[in-house]
Amino acid sequence: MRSELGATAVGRFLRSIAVVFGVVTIVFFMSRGAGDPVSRLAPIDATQQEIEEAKERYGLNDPMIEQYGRFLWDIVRLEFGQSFRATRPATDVVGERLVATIQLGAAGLFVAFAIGIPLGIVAAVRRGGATDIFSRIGALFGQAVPNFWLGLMLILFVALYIDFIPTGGRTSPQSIILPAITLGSFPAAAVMRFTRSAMLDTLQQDYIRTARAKGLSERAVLFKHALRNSMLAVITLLGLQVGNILSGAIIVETVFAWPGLGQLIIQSIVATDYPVVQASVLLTSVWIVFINLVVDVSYTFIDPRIRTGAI
Amino acid sequence: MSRHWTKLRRTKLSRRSLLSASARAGVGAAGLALVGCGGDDDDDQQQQTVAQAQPEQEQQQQAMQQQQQQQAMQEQAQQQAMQQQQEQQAEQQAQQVEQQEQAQQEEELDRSTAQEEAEVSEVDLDAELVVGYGSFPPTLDITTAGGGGGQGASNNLHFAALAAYNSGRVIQAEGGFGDWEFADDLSSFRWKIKEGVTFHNGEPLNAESVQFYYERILGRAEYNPDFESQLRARAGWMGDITVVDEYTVDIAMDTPFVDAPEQSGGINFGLLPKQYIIDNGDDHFANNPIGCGAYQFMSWVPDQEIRSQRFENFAFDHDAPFQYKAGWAKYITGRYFPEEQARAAALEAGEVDIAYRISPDVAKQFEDRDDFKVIALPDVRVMALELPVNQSLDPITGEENPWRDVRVRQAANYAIDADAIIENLLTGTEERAYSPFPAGYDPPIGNLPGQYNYDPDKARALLEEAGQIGFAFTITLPTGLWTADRIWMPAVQQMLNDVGFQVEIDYADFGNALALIRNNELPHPFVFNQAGVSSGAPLGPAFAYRLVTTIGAPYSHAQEGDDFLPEFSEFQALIEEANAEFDQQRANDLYYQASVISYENAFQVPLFGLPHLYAVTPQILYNEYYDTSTGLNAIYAQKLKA
Repeated sequence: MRSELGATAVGRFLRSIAVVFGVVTIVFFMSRGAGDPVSRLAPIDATQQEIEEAKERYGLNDPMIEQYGRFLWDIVRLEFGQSFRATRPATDVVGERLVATIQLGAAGLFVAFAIGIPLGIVAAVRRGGATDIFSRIGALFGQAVPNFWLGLMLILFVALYIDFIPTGGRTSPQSIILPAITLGSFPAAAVMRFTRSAMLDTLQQDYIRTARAKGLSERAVLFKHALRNSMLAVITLLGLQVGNILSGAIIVETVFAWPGLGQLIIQSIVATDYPVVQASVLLTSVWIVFINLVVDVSYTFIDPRIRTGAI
Repeated sequence: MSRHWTKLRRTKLSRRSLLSASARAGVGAAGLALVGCGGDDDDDQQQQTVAQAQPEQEQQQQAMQQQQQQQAMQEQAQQQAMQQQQEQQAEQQAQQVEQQEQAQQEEELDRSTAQEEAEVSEVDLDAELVVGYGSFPPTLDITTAGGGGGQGASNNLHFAALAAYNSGRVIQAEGGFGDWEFADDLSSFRWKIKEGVTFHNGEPLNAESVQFYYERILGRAEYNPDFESQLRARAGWMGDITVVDEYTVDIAMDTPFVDAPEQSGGINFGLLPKQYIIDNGDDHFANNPIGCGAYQFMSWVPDQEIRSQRFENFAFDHDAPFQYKAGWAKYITGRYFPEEQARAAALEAGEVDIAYRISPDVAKQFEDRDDFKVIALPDVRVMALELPVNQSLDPITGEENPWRDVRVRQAANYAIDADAIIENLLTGTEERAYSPFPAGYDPPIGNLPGQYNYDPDKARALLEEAGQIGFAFTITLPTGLWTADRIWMPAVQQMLNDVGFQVEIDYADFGNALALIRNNELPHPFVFNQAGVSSGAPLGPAFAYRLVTTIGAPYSHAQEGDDFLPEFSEFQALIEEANAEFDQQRANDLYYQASVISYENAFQVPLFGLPHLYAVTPQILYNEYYDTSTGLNAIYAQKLKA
């Protein structure tokens, strides 16, 4: 059984490597197609000769396949070159932003699960009731509203009227409140719907009826038997939401002036700062793949049927 | 500003003339009364004729007539006296009105001056001024940050360059951190550095630091020859840099370079301390900058906040007659809000005092409100449509290039109602441009007579006459940098289509569009702005024409080997002559002549200058204007006491 688990993990790991390789390859060629960074970064009055010299320095005049080979070799050595904008190693520039993004991402996930799971449970237990209807409308709203719009509305209708909450930046602990709510709103809706759906399925199972027949309290039935068995779907969602949170952070960080990786990616794309774009995207893709790998592997611990190959 | 004063003067003259005219009208009424008496004289003449027919009565009548005549003469004399008196009174009244107006005006001026002074006395010198910027620098080293968002938030505050500019955007030979002069044989250029100036860390500004500064930019400094500066392109003209004495530096020139003062002492060439950089390295400097600007660096959180403190040993006072002035607020905190609505909200929430560079739409939110005001500062640059006039064939159809026909080019100029765009789509503060230079530009090439006022009928007639109704072409608009670009460009497109063109707009990413233009890969018209650079200083016409329009310029359609129109060759010859002219007045005259040729032959379609807009709290006063393309400089902003 242990060897099966190891084989599963290795297989998933190799697939993950392939995914990351695919992502960085796409990013490499797409960023090259996005424009010429030297024309953007050089002074507007730079001569053609000076522009050509700068391209030579950055290796941008080499054949694309040569640049790609160098890029892959750099990845192996975790070298991404100098940021064109910041004139520092791209890894340093990206590293500085990680903490802020992890902080915001964690807060966003917390909001998503803190709102989504209880609402999902209540909606499932009181199916068809006012809470259920309200929660489903809320979920619809959460998934339909773009987060840049929600962010601006929160700034205009919350931050402007509550002095305690700033409109943007990362200057105080409360600065995270609005970005976290904005970031967490979309996954909260998904978590709520998943939880509700999973709970409804579980509550109809025979063992729930058996538990109730045994005279267990409703609380014990819900939290010990139903919720625990519904968590598999929610954990799957966690893996997906990490990706959503990171992509959502790109917009939310810009709206709320949150100095994280998302904001950096936007700036670097606009400035065609390839090294930073590549380093950022590689990092985020590795992170998403890693989380999904962890989720995949964790199934085998949570659900013995997966471990034994029963399903 | 000048237009404002002109308008004011016109209003003043008009009021005076009206008052004066009404006073004269009183005299005129008296005159009309005299004419009425003249009618009475006609009656007298009839009576005289009757008297001649009746002798006895004639004498009596004559006597009576004489009496009447005497009376009439007396009356006339009295009336003349009255007229003179009334005229004198009217004149006196007009003079009094004039004097009153003058006194009133002086009083108003005194009052406004007093108010200004009173307001100045209310300036909080211990205040923290918080500015919400839309872009932030990726590094705080001015020689690498360039225009990448660092101008307002860091460079303007922390650094000072050698050259001074007056408010007319003209570089000054004396008075700044350095005085400059060319050698008689034009083989070198000299900076005489102001004595007694120190950097924020106490290191002296001297010839050695200036020499080191240029050598660092050029990659010649021994401590790090690999240092890469974005300014290297601009310093390419520099030969050997020699320290003559403690405060004198000579820069050798391979060929005489007219723009040497600007391209070594302009705003982007912020001075740096030699020893500090050598001791601490470039990376440290990029995060902990030291300059000799009005504010010294305190702290920086990338893409979040830059804090600076007033430099109390700054070399100049508040009233220096050029751009270098002591700061008002004790602290300036720049905060980064890339989203402009969030920037505006931060202003509303009281988190910032100034929302930097907002769009016309956002500016409208703050207009007509007591709790905020909008400041519009002009930009030295003018948006213009660059036309491909020197290619014989249309690259798309392979037929004769329609743009070679001056009527087609003039039709494009007549077709666009720039005033309507300004009034209805923009803020109304934009200035209509008639040349590649904004109105009031010094030298006065911004004031070319406006020939091409909106006239769609004439545009269509010209197009018809040229046989080019339905002429289809694309305009490339580099997007993402210029204010409201996606708002005014469709209007331009529609106006051109209305007179018979068929225009498509290619909205291209700014960087990509620049690359295409530079590589001469855009055969059709494109929008560009002239007379300045994105990162920049007040730059002269030489610089503008070196960038656009002229043969071989990076952002010009005209390339060597093209089939030049005779008028274009004439224009080019004048520009070349001006570019090499060291006599500033003579150079300006040549640029003016060239601009006239360009305008009359409609080589471009000048549109308007786009101002920079800022929303501020009422406590903020802003009375200075030196930075042209960079806009509001927080150093000059005064925050009043609460």
